[in-house]
Amino acid sequence: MKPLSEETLSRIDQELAGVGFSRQELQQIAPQIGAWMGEVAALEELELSEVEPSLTYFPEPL
Amino acid sequence: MAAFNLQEESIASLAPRIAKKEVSPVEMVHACLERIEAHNGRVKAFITVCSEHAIEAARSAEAEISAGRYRGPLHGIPISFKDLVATQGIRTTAGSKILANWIPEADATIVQRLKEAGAIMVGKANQHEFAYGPTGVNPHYGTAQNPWDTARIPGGSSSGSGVSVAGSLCLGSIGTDSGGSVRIPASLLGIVGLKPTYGLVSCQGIIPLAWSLDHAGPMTRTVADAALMLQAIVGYDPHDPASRNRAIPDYFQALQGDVKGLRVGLVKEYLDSPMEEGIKDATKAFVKQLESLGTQVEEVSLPQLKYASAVSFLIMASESMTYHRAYMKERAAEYGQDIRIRLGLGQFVLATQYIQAQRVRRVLYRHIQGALERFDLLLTPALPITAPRIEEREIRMGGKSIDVRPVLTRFTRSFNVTGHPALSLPGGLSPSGLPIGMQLIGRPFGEETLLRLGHAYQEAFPFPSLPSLA
Repeated sequence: MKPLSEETLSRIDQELAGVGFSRQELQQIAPQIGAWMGEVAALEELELSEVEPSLTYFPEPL
Repeated sequence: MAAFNLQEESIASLAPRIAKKEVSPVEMVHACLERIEAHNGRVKAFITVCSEHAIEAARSAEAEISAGRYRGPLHGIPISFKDLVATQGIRTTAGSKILANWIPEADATIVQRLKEAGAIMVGKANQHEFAYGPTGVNPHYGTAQNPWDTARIPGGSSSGSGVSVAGSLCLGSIGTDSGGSVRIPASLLGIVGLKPTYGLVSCQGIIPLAWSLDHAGPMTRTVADAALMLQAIVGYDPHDPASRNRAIPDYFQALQGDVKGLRVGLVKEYLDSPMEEGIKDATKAFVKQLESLGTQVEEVSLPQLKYASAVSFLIMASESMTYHRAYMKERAAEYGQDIRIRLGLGQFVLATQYIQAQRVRRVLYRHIQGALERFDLLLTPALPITAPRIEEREIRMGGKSIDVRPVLTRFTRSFNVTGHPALSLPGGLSPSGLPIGMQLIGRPFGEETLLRLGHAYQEAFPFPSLPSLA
């Protein structure tokens, strides 16, 4: 998994998220995201074909 | 009325004397308010002190008890609430500037239940802003200080709740825990913190951090007091979608059961990870003490716990940013810098990563459940470190400099992911005289066993007195 550059983060923020972080703030966010990349990638490599998400919707009675 | 010493008392020791009218709730509340007046300017345990409300409630409690209408062991007991728990007519800031002037129109369910039990709120406790951090450092209301060494953090996010109990400013508090925020301050302050099973205690009326990780629980001096507070707050709440409708046991009665023969699994991966000097030795000593009570302690390997931090990160980042999205768009400058950055991380988590994290969460749950088929309880140190200094952002561990925040949550956040109940209780002092916490983890809705072993330990091996603030 390739670390996201500040430029990419900036575009996501401006074009999708809409918070409007400053360049200085994105410089702090980028390494923190980078620090998690390895562990997040490890999750994506797990074989989970038998596992449903624990998040399920169920209707509630009135 | 008989004298009492707030620094020596517990809820369980005072309740029978209040019932017999030997101790006055009014005098007790005045004693708490005097200590708060004397020390809160320095230790910053409270954001809001509710003096008038507390005195009025104490008078009412005393009148009821005098008239023979004693409600039970929390009647007349002074407590605090973390300031993200909604309290009708009383400012609820969540430790933030954003909600600095929010006055809720209704109590959270947990507040209603404690009021019905007769507990008296003396104030709203300081916290890490919006509960999004484990240190308790707060740029808006000041950082609560650790009574064991006021240059050190009390831990968070329920920092003021912990200090209000450890500093004998009241007898119990309600904190919240999404990655360790009850157990971290409990460990650093030498008190007891219980994160109940997910869904056992209603979170309705509590400002969320991450809905599927949030838990509310008691912080007290003793395990017996935690049992008494838990009894008052459990129960189905139709207004909380996570609330479970189950039969409620008598937690205080359950403390008297035998602990001989209980099987305890010592989590190998945590014990083998880098820790501050003294904590591994304290854990080994704790194991020997548990064995002396007749429990059987064995190491258990849980290798899949290595995924828990990333799962917790993805879920917390996504859910917290979802809640804060509107505020972040319109009032971002009003957040403290660290919270704004932490919330910002959530903008960059993919939906697929969030769903994957929820699936791995189920794997982790089954992993822990597998161990709990062989063991009644699991054991870890609560934290790999004792209280850092307030200004410390990084600490040296395992030959490296690392951010103090993930270190604080390393052993606690896994059980927010899985929802298992977890209890932090004092397990000794470090070579430098700071408290070390131990963490017991139980089966889902198995709080009785968790509390029973914790109580038996405290009865057999009393912890040194809490520090004086004078």
